Amino acid sequence: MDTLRTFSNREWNLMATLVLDLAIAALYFSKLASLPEGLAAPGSALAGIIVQVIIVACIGAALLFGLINWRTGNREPADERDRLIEGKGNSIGYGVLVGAILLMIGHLVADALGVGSDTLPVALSTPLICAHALLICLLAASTVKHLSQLVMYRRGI
Amino acid sequence: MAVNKGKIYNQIRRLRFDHNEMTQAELAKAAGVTRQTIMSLEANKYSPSLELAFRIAEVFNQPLEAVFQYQCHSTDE
Repeated sequence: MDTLRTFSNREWNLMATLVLDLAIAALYFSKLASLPEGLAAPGSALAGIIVQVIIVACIGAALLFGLINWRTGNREPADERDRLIEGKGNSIGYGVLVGAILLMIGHLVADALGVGSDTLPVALSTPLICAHALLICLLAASTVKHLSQLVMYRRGI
Repeated sequence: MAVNKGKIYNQIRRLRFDHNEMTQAELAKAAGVTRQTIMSLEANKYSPSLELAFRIAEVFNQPLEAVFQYQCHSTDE
């Protein structure tokens, strides 16, 4: 708890972004998994879930970031250390994104060639599954980026 | 191959107290950075840019080498 007391506004914002990203993703995927199979109009059900999740995300972000700024005061302008950490975090996140997308491309190619199709963990068989796999790649990159920035703020660079 | 791994140390904490117990916030404002950066520098968790190092030395009216020291460790890899 003592560590949390020393968090700056910028670190709290990073932590909030991290928690919010994961919570919203968990909400979206849990709602998606609860959709019954063989729906007459899966498109409209999916659109409904997306709208619900966007509304929850907006309300959650307004409350969370509002609370942080109320508790810790307004954020100071970024200095050279903040910019360095931002840059390094972006670079790490980009690496994860490229790696994840390359894995996905490899998976698609292996699927198309029929190589190891019985051993691949997930079949990227429809555009919707591909879109969700891309969403997971983006989420992983964003999580790693924010996590690495938090670690750099705490442990130094 | 011999690799030089060095670390930059500083006397910021001592110099602040020598300058009328200047606070981290006051130094941060004078050097144009955030208080968190000064905290990080004092804990030797961040090596400043050359420009920031000169600005901090100027705040204390000291030469650069009186504020920052570079310690080089030679290691064989």
